[in-house]
Amino acid sequence: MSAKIEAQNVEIDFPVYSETSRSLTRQLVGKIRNRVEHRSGRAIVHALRGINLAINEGERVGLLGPNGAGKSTLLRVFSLIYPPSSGKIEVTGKISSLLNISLGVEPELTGRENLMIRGIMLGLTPGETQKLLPGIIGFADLEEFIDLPVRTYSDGMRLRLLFSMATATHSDILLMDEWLSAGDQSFHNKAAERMQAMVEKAGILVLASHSVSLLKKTCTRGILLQKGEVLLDGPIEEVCEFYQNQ
Amino acid sequence: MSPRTVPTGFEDFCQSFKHWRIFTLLGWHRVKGNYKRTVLGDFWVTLSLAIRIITIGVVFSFIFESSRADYIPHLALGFIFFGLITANINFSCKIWVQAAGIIKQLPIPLHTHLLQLYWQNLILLGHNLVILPGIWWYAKISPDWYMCWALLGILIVQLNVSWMSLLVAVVCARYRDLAQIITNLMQISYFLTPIMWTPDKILGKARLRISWINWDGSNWRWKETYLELLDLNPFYHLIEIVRAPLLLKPVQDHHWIISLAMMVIGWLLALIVFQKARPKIVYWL
Repeated sequence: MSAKIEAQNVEIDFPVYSETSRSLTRQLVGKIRNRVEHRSGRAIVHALRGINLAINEGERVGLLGPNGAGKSTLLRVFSLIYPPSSGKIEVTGKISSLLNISLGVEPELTGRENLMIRGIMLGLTPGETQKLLPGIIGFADLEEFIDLPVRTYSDGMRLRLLFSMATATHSDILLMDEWLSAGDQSFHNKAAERMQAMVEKAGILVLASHSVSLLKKTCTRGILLQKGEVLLDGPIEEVCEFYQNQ
Repeated sequence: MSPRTVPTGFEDFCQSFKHWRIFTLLGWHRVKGNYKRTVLGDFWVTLSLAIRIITIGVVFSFIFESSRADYIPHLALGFIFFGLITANINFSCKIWVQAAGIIKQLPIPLHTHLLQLYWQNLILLGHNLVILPGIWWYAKISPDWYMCWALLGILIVQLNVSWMSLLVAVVCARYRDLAQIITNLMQISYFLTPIMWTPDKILGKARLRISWINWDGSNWRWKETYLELLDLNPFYHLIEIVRAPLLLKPVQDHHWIISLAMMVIGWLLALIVFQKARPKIVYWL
């Protein structure tokens, strides 16, 4: 079977547990309106509703939408991290996700040590990770800094480090969240090339971003989210146009 | 490649063992990491344990008027193994909360984090058991094959501690106050378990008498039995099954029976709770 992501009627509800939950509801209701429900004494935020999607191999999908639309949540549904409150999610293929710039990064340890830990978390043996290190460090342009603690890195450097690591091994599905925009133009180009290469090996890419230029460069299909629902799903050019005209 | 979805509690539990490389390597790394750039490295743990044992051992052996050669080994082993139990249970209160960052990034089974905790604590146990030869020398006993029963004991203790930790992790993820309550309960248990005192001081003196009438074929007769209050303490049995063999003392059957029964019932309970709670745990973090 080939790589595939299939979501059927997925809904994600976030319960908000807080002593001030009742007053919180009253506050939120003003802003989010019908996405917050008050049920048995606590607030529930409907982060995603009625998501019906199928993404097949070879597709490069861009997720767009205003802040709070549900892009990060949807990516986490695809990563099999958030169990759907209702509906079904099925993913075929090995997932590699980069959803947060500081994932499991230990600031006191050096870049090299962090890469070794990252390798372990991704399921590689220390030997395999060692072999990949030169390539990763080279791609990330971090030769000078790799043995310094990560807390001394800038956001851009951290981004390069983690992106390089996440794309070092083959995976069938690559999921990325919008922090990619923290990189500079040359990094965007490099990243775009690499993502293209990865996806060309019959994979799936889902990238959430505010950067329309990055999306147009890397993606073929666009999904526009708003208030937890899919507003538009189609060719990337079309979806970007629609989004920009709003 | 077959389609996958978010694992259920049982699936999460079973899959967690497949990631043995993650939890063993990360666990080892964490243990070493805490003692980077220190002189003794990870053996600081052992040294501080030894100091505690000696100071408390000497003082309390005077208070209890027992011989130091009897009291100190008893105390030492109680410290070490109760330490294992508390470390696991106390840290599992917040384990998923603290790992929330990773949990919301990589779909590693939730139970793997617990396995990593157990591994770390077993490594520390290994460090602490380095003082065993010292304990044996001081108690004037020489190693014997009988002591291998302690290996089985350690296994059963760990299996019991594991279900307790799983249960604690689930409920504390939902009700954050419970973490405080559980830490306090463990502190109280420390005093209610024969670690700083020996069981003989309480056995026979704190009992419940249970009476009932029995029909023996021709007459109704009163029967009675005593229930030692100490036997209600689960940690008492767990400590006994490791401590007694290591001190070449006999282990009473009821310790094994209760420990095994606790294990079976406890695991059933923990797995059922985990199965029900698994879909919601990520949302509690």
